[in-house]
Amino acid sequence: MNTDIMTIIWKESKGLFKQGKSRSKSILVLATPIFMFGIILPIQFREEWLSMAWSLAIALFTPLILIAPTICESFAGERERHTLETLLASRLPDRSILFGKMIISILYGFGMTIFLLLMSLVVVNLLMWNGKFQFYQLSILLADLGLGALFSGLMVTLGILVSLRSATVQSAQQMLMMIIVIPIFGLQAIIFLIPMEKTREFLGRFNLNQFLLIFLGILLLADLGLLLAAMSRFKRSRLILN
Amino acid sequence: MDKLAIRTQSLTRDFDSLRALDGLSLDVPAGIIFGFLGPNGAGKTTTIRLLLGLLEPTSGRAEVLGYDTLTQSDQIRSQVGALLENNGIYEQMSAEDNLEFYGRANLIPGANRSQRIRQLLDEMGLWERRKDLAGSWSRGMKQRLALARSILHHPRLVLLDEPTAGLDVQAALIVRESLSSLAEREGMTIFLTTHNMAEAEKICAQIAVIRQGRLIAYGAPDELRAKTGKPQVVISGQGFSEPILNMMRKRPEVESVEMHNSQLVIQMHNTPNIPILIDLLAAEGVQVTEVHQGKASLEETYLQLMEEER
Repeated sequence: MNTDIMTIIWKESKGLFKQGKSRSKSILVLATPIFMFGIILPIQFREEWLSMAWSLAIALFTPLILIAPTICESFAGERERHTLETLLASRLPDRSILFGKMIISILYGFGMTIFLLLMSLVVVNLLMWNGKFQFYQLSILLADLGLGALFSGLMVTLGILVSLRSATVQSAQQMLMMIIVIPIFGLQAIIFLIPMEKTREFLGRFNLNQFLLIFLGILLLADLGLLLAAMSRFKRSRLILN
Repeated sequence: MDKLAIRTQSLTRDFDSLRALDGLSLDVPAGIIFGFLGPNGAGKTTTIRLLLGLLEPTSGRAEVLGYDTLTQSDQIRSQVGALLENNGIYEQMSAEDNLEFYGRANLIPGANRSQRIRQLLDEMGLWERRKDLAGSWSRGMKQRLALARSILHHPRLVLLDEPTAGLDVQAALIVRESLSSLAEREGMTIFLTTHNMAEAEKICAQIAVIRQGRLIAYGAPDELRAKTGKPQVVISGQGFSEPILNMMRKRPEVESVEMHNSQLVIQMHNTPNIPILIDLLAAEGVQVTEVHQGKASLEETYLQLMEEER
């Protein structure tokens, strides 16, 4: 990988894992998805966790919980702490700064998604052990991985665009959460209004694989569009003027 | 061009309807400390941003180390060090990691990087606390760390935006001394903006003064004082009183009269006739013990330049 990108990844990793603003806050943010998706939900759903689409919650919410604060700290934080201009005055190219920051956030969000998929798999097997190791249904696993990767990408690119327009980390985080959470809660509210049996019946009639493929395709296009927008906006002269 | 570190030609930058820099033409010789003076909002920071290629000029052009700021800004940034308005220190990282990051960013090989970091932290008196988070340091220590960062990669030119602003007298003195010794030892050109005239007078070989984006004076400190500084007489003694000061103020050759530390400081419109001044004071009962004639300080010259431009 490009040396300059690796340099940015090295720098960002220092802030991410070693010397974060508040260690207890970082641990709490990390503990929430581990407790929820690694322990509670697999216990609740048991073997359905591996055969039905419930584990998609990991791919959807882990990037949301972990990437939103990280990406805003990374971009809006540089401006808020007045370190951006010095960074831009260095020889590091715009693209290396952008991609270095993106890669570390995606690795963090998607890496944790994979970790939680494995952890919940272990929890379900411990609970339901019948002498044979049970694994995710292949289509579910692929959907988990695809959705995890693409949703991480969506969070990162959206986070960059929001951060570039925000004066502070806090305002960037609030705006990003609003953009992401409102449609999810809206969808959730609709689902909750319909009785669970009817939801299952409806989903049962649907070809889930096709549905997921279409959804992943839309996410991929959204990721690419937002990436291009982020690349065109992350330019020295624009950043200095902002 | 080899002998020039910076050359600007009619460099102009507008922000909407505001002209931040207005036709700046300036030559900065290589190997000196160059002072860029001006009040707040004069265009000093805009000039530094233009020289680094962070902003594009509205018109005119600039060359830094022989590279065009518009088309070769990557080469400029790789050979120039900068300490900008904000020190740019990562407060969540240790001092050593701050330098490690910029060492990597400047492609300094591993072994040389560690050696150079140690050398600079030692020189700046920061080595013992290299593992501390930079955020826990005093402003003066952070500024010294930022200075070390700006010269980490042996740049040929260093741009410093008010490097001693906000520092106490002792911290400012340490930074100033560091600058002078660095310029001498490493043979680099230092372009610094400052409000501090005494600082500029002490360490700068050449000075440019800008106001509202326009260059209003340029040259060595002595030349500027000679061009614009008016003659001054400083008289020490006993028996000065307000009526005597008022009497002196009424004289046509006198521009202003002030008491500074029990000394009478008289700014003249033209070359003073000292015996007449002494006679006048003696006649009023003043016991004169010492008389010193000289030019105005750079600070007075600067204030005069600002006044003339109004």
